[in-house]
Amino acid sequence: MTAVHADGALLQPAEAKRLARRLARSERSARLSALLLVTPLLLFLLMVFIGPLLMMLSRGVRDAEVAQALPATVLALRNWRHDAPIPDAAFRALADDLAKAHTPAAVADAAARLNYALPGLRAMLMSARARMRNLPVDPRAFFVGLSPRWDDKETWSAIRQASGPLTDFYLLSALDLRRSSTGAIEAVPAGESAFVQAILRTFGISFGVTALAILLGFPFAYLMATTGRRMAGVMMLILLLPFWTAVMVRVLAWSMLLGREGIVNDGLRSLGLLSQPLDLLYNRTAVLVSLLHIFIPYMVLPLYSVMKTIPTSQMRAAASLGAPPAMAFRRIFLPQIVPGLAAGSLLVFIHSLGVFVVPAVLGGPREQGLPVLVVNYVTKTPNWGLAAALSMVLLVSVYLLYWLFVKLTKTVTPSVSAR
Amino acid sequence: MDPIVRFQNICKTYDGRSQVVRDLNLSVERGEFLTLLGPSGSGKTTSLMMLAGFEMPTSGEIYLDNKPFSGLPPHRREIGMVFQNYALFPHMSVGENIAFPLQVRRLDRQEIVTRVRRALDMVQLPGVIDRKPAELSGGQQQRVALARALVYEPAIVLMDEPLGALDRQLREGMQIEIKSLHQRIGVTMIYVTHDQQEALTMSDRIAVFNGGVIEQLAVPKTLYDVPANAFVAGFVGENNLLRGRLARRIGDEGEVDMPGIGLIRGRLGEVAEGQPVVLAIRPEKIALGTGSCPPGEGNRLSGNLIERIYLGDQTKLTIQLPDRQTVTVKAGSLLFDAAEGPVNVSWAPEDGIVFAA
Ligand SMILES: Nc1ncnc2c1ncn2[C@@H]1O[C@H](COP(=O)(O)OP(=O)(O)OP(=O)(O)O)[C@@H](O)[C@H]1O
Ligand SMILES: [Mg+2]
Repeated sequence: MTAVHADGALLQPAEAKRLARRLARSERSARLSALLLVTPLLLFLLMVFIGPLLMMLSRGVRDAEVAQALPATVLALRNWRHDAPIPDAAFRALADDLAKAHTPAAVADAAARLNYALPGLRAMLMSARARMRNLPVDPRAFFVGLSPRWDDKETWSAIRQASGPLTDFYLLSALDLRRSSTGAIEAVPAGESAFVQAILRTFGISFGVTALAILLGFPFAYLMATTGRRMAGVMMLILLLPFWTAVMVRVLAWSMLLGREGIVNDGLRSLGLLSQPLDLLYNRTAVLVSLLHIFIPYMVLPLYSVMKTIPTSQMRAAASLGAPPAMAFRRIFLPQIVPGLAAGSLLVFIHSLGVFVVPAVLGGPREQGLPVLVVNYVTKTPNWGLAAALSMVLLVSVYLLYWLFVKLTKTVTPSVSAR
Repeated sequence: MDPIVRFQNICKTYDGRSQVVRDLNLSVERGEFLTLLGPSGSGKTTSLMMLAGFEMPTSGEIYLDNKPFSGLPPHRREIGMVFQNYALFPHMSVGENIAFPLQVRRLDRQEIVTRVRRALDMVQLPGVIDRKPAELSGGQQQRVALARALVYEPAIVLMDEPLGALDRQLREGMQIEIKSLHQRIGVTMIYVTHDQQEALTMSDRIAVFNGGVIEQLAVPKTLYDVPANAFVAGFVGENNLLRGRLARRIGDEGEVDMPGIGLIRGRLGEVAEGQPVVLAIRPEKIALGTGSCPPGEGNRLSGNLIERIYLGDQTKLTIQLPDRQTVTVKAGSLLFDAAEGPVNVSWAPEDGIVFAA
């Protein structure tokens, strides 16, 4: 082969290299101006979203309360190992620290933090502070006299592990793990905590919603993409109608519809079809139905938009080349809509993961997922560290999903976006 | 020899009100290159789609090898098709696109590879086998579509304005390639275009469509020289259509009375005396005389030269007759120097054809 390539003149190597450099330069400047265009949005996100988010999440690994309230104790325990006896210095330091805390509020945060790790420790610490009129002569005897648990290495281990400045305590808790008094990671005894179960439940519900959304959304999107203009407009309206009301309103509407005294039960009973009301609310089905109702547009719209880009002539071409409809669908249609399918699934899945209201209002105790727990730990029994750690678990899993999405769409359709 | 495809009394309406195809009868000979030519909306695509099985005739039947065809779904008709927008599969490489019909037919891997290569060689496109359609030029995509429609050796290939999107030079090159390909492999081709030049260049026979009916079915030369009616005369090639009234029949010729001009003679189509008629005369058949230069024999008219258009190898002159009708004359480019003003034109009576208006 000499003279010509299939689509252009063949270049000398030196010339080709120069050309490649010029191309790279022009692409770089194009990228730079693109970056300039997104700068305002980037700054906005940084300020109102990414910044606060990082701050919130950092609470999941920060551990400052104990070090702040009991600095001497933390110092005294620094070199203590679990296999050594509890040093007298530790007792003395704790007595010092507590004597310096003139109000209960001064150690309240630390006590609360220690109580997460070892239930009962709050009470022990607070009562010790209250009794600390003046420094005891024999601190060890003083503490052990108050509670025999002060002689327990586990107690001091908990204080040492909480001395910060960083901790994996919350993250481990979020995964139903903890550090034993020796420092090894171990599983929380069964029945004591159920975060993993909640995580799995959250994923299970989201997965179910996504699967149902594909099942119901695919035919809808297909019909919408292939039918006439008019009909497609009507279908779009039907699809978007629920968007006109707030999620909360819709959830309450569902609860009115499905409750024991709700419209469905009343209707069925007045028709004589039922003697006992059905339990339609506070179960998995109610949650799935209502999540599906809220999120199905997120499935249909991306699907519709990619389906719309596939001209009928392509399916006709496949048929004229001898492919029966099922094969044309599988080999021509399906591969081309994978990006839409993946985008829709990702949207529905992530939204379902993060939703709080629906399981809270329509679900029973067995439907309460991660977001409900997070809200719980922020509002009801404040434990910001755990809330942050649970959020982090959610965030990381969402990121993993996104990564999977990118991988998937890349391998299946490397060139759909080529031009 | 039996025709390979026969349309018999085919009617088609989409909306139940307007007939898109009206009582179509058409036989396609085995191995011929038949072109469906006609203005936009005349039912060409519809006819093709009925043959391919994507549209059902409202009434009538299509026969393939004398067997009724309408029960067969499109994927079992074994008809190759090249769409106007090529309809290549964007997620498949060129090779995969061409291999698709072979994979559907479950040929073995080795056979597929050799056939794909052969098809690409045939359309003179080696070396693009791994590219995606989006990475090809329009002409290259067109060739891939052609290769894909031919690779499984269907007996019939349909093409719906396959060259519509290409520029003129590329289009002319592809016309020649398609034509020579047809001669090499002897496949029956049914080709749709509304470009009459393209139809004349490529076809064995041309069916001129208008308003859902075939106005004339003939070989290119007949179509050009002996159009069957005023529509064909006006649509195929350039023609001057002069309006008048048939005054007198003289054998197979007639005299057309044009008020303000006089009597003009021409070959007769099927018209009765006294009817309004159209006389068709091709621009290149008209001789021009200026000033003292004497005009030729036959019909002689005088008029005013009002416009000159330079075409390079030729000059196109527009002449206004006393009754304000115009005739176009094509002449050698030397005549571009002709001054605007009074001129004479003339042509032989047998070159003009008289049709019912
Ligand atoms: N799917 C359809 N539904 C309704 N009417 C249609 C449909 N397809 C075509 N028509 C109508 O049928 C008539 C013939 O259309 P057709 O596509 O056969 O014309 P054509 O000869 O191929 O024209 P062109 O040269 O513009 O492609 C047109 O008036 C068109 O509006
Ligand atoms: Mg058409």
